[in-house]
Amino acid sequence: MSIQLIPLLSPGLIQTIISCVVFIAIGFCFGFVLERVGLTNSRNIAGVFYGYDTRVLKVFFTAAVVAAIGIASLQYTSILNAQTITWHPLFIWGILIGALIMGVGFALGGFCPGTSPCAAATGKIDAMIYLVGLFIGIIIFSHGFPYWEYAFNYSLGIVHIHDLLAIPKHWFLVIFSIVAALSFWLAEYIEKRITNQKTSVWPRIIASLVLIAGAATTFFIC
Amino acid sequence: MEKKYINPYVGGFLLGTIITISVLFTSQTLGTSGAFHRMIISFVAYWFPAYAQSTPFYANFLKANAGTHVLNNWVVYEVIGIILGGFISALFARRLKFTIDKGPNISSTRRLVFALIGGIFFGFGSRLAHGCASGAALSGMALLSASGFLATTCMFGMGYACAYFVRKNWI
Repeated sequence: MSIQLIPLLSPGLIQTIISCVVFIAIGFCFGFVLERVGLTNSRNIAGVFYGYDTRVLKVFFTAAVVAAIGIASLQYTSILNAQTITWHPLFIWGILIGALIMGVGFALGGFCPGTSPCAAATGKIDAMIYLVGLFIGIIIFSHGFPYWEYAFNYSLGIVHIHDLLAIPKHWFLVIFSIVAALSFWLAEYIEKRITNQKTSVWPRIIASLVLIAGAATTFFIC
Repeated sequence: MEKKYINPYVGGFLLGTIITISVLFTSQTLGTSGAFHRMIISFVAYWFPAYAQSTPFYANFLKANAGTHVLNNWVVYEVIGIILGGFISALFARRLKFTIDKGPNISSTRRLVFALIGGIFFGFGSRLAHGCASGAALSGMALLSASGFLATTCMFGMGYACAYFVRKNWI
């Protein structure tokens, strides 16, 4: 039986002050880290598309793999009950079309909805204008909602990637971490070719080893 | 003298840890675009009540959320936190100033026009996809949801496909 410690804050208690504070604190850490890694500068973000700065890829993949290993480990050790997690259903058409549209916005605007308020708070005028655009886009979405309601609501239910690939979760975590590590090496190779700057090889070695070792430990607890 | 940025791998590790802690204590991952949607809904409902009642999306949303304030939601508090976190971090790193970041070969006006257009696309897409880069793509991958991998692939894939055409803006 799993420990019913979690969640300390059920959605029904959202009104309480403590949950406000918790969510503000989580957002605070999120915003703080985004600023500290340089993701409030749109040039640093857009660099991932041209290879002169690939920090987006490094931050994004490291975060995804670390969180995937963390959440899976919490489930394996029964600290976290799968029923308490808010899973993401596969809204296949909404996500497919929506993400393609987001890709256009990404290349043009250089921000995403997460980095733009953070950047605007540090005084980036392009981020403030981007936020105005975000609001306009959301108004268009809401106004014409009946036109894309079908695509928005069409769901295949909760589909996990490892079930789709028909492999055990811990195997997927290892593959995921290896792919992430390979992408770090490729990204830094391209970055070096384009900027002609020598960078230390150690950060990517340590990052790769930590991710793969972390994924491998799930074999012992699964 | 402004502080140097931290190593992106370290930043990613911290971010991944924050997501894990968030799931552990709140059962939620991260999100932001939902907060902007709620701001729009509350704004429209307050200033244009007749329009809100006659437009299916607003009417349905307000009916489904009757009893609680539209802005009283975790994602709104999270965005307040993001703004505070970014501000405090920049303050201590001495990076707090009004600037426009752009490629070396374009005017500020051009950068702002593209930022606006990019924002419109991203705003629309993020709502259709039930989340943005953090809510759908990053959090989805963290939960090993197929949706997260689909969102990430499509978003970055399209980004790369478009990047060639707007290269003057950045390089």
